[in-house]
Amino acid sequence: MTKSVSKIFIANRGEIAVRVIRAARELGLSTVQAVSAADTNMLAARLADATALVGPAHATKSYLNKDAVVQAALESGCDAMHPGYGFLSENADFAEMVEKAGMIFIGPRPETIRQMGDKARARQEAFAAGVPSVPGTEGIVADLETAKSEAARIGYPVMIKAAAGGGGRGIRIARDEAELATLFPQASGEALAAFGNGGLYLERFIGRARHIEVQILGDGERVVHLFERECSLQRRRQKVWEEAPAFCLKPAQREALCASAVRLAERVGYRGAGTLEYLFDDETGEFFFIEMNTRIQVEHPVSEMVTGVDIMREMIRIAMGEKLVLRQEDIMLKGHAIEARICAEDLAADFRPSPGAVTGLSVPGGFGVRFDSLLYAGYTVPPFYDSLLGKLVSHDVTREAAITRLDRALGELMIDGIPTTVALHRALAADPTVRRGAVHTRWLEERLAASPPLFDHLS
Amino acid sequence: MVMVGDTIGLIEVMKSFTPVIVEEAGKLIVFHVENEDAVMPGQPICDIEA
Repeated sequence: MTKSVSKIFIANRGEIAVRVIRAARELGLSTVQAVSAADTNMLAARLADATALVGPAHATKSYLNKDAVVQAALESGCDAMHPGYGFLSENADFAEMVEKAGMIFIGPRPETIRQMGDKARARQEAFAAGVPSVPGTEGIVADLETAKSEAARIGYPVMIKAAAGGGGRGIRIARDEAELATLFPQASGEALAAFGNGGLYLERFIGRARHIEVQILGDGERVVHLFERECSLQRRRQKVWEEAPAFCLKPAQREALCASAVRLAERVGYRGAGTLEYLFDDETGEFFFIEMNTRIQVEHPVSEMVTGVDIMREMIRIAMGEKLVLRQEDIMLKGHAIEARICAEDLAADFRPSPGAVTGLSVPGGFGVRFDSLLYAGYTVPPFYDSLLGKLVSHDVTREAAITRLDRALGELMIDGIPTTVALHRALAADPTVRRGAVHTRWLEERLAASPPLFDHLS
Repeated sequence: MVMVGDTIGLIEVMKSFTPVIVEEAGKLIVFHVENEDAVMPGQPICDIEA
């Protein structure tokens, strides 16, 4: 049964808020954009039908303030809430509050967020669905003694992970039992302070692996996959460059990986857009489930480009109670897409965040190029939020052509007034290892530390 | 009293934190900013008496 929605409240900011507005408008829905006091003139605020102030600049008092966000949505007459990514997007309590207030939460059911957000429970579900995960503990490890015996079984080095963590936070690596004895209590205390939950679990640390993730869409009963992305180019556990599909997979591997994601998502009755993250070992061809992100992801455009499916539009439709119309057999991989995350960071000063006024802007275009961004000429990038300015996406017939097209588009992108990471991406596009695709999750950091320098930051 | 090398604050820019480190030892007299106030480059944060 479809529920009538007319006005969506956007509890986010930046480029993803713009993305939501675009999809909503194409569906004939109006939008109210949440703004902090520092964001009243951001692009999404200009594009939305209306804005609503949710608090001061500091995110904890605005975009993370559940009561203020729900209140503002109700006062502005909204009947649905889009949380974007980050902020409150994977907060089950928030999703529950939204539903209790009589609005639609554009995302999974609160209990699914809770279930998959708890990494230990997600692993148990994966196990039950027959989806391999990284060798590790079945659930939360009660104490150091248990951790020691479990680590001996799993094999060192082990990762100590916070059950409530995510986005690479709350992870420690112990090479032996002595390190485990030191790090385990630290990790527990830190997890309690950071996430309000001191629960820890252990996983084997796989040193050289690719990060591959499967995009799915579900309507609560049926789930389809939109193939996978390769996101191994990372710095400080943040993705820098993402591709679709994962060019390293053989067809049979791709089929097994994507089928496993559908199996797990159907098992939990997944509703909405979601991503299952895996580590992939090139040498053995094994893949291991790591975690599920129960929200739209930054890098969703590459999957849209290679499948032709508008993921944002589909997730809004599903939230309105529509059943999936997509059939798996209709979803085809077409060509190759690459996304470069353009950030306000100073490459000459070790990626130091560099907010400020954008005095001039020239945006790339042409066939097979897409730029999802928060920029306009004259905009001042505030210092309060993360450094992502936009995502430059190229799509072409082959991976090689997509890299060439991305480099062409990067050459056209001019952002005057603030330092950006454009030069890093041009260097990556020219790098022989990247061109060969012979990367793993630690490759970029190792390459940045090596000589000769990956890029010339004076250029 | 603060010593050279002491961290007396953290400045957050775009979710990354940079420590404010004491370069001359002395007595910290007054902070000119409150916790979580916005600051601009060049703005005095505190007075330290040598």
